[in-house]
Amino acid sequence: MSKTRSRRVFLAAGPAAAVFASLGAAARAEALSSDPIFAAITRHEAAEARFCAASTLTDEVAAEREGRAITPADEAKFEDAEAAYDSALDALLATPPTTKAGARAGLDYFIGLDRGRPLADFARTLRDSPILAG
Amino acid sequence: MSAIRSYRILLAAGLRAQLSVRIWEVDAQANGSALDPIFAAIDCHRAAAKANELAQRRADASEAQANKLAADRASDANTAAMLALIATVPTTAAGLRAGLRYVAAKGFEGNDLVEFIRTLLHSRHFSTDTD
Repeated sequence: MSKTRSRRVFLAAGPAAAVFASLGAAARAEALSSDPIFAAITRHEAAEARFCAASTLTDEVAAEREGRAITPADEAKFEDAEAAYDSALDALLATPPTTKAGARAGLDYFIGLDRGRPLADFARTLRDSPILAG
Repeated sequence: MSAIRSYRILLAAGLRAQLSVRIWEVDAQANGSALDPIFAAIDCHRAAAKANELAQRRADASEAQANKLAADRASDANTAAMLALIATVPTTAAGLRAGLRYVAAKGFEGNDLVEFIRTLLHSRHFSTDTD
């Protein structure tokens, strides 16, 4: 893998990169290139960002404050973004991690979405098990 | 050898075999519990949650003050057991899987974290990685 490509792949991992703090360079590169969970997380993050932007477009209060009307094109964008979000989430939920780093990144991601609940607190403890380290 | 004696020998061998299997199971469980505190924490929370459910049901069914007090105590015990479980880090692969299975069983349908944990538990790679 070229240096440029390695850098692109690493940047694409986004917030999941925090998981790599405790890994060596070789383990990082191997996890990113071989574990499909990282790409699935990145796709879901991008879909979520598009969905949030589209939600603002079709938000009646925001539209009134900005002095604009919600157009059929805005509605269509929202529906597309919603479908893409659901599809990315389904794909992520169906992607089993193939590395320990991937398992931790996946757990981290969903713990973040479920923050503040006892279930997420326990999942965080499980993620911190030395069995998933390294 | 008489038929009766043969039968007695077979019966004794069968009982010994059954007993040895049970002892092996108990040993395996004891070793796992000794190795990893998560097993005891899960058992404790399971028992506390069940006791709490029963106590709340009794309190709902009757106005007796004793039942209300028992329900309060059971609720406190359940919370304490949950906090202890949340603080218990699994130290073995079997313990980690037991913890994940517990989350998967306790979590409600449609929760994304629970769905992901189910995917993780069914992953061939994950079992291989952690064993």
